[in-house]
Amino acid sequence: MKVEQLYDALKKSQEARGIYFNKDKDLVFELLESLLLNKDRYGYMACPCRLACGEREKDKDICCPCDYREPDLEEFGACFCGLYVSTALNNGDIQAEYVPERRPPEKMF
Amino acid sequence: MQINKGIDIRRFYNLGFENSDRSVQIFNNCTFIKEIIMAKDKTILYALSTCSHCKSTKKLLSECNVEYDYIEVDDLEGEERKAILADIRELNPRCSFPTIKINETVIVGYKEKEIKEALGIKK
Repeated sequence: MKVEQLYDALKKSQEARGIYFNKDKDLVFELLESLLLNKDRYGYMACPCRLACGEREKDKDICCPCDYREPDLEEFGACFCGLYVSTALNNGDIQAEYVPERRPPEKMF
Repeated sequence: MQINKGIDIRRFYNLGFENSDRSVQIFNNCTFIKEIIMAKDKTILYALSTCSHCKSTKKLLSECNVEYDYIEVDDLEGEERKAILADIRELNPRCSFPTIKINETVIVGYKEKEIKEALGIKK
């Protein structure tokens, strides 16, 4: 799959759910390229900002869109990697801030 | 402006694997890397090759003309990955990326202000 196809497919499916890409399109394309790279090397689109173990079942919580996207969007206006952001952040109504890792560390080990 | 590129300390893992027992090599190389990691007055970036915040951190360090070492953990496998993760866990129990060690200060995440403060950059 090409990155433009992924962009179009996700934009359509996510916007239908009221979830939007970051308005920084360069960042979005960079992250989508990384998702495709992870799909190539692991077989699934693991979050580019987290260390995948290579086992789909163990990494299912960090397959994009990850399990932590919703609470992170709610609390910080952005998901951990910054691919998806709230409308308020895209409009500049709130400032971007550091999104701490919400994934429990025991999931990694 | 001169831009310093980070040094990928992963290359130390690959020193002289030929003609030697791999497990001994891994042990020796981990010890060597530990010495680098524990050294004071060093800037070390633990990163993922795909991570946007890690890329932003590299860019910031280069723009600040900082010499630093980095390791991209997603490129490591097996014992090498385990050894580095154990080191990161000591610095940052959540083992998230980027983890940056500047001298004796550990910064988790791309926090521009904190990174600059730790580097002694005022503006």
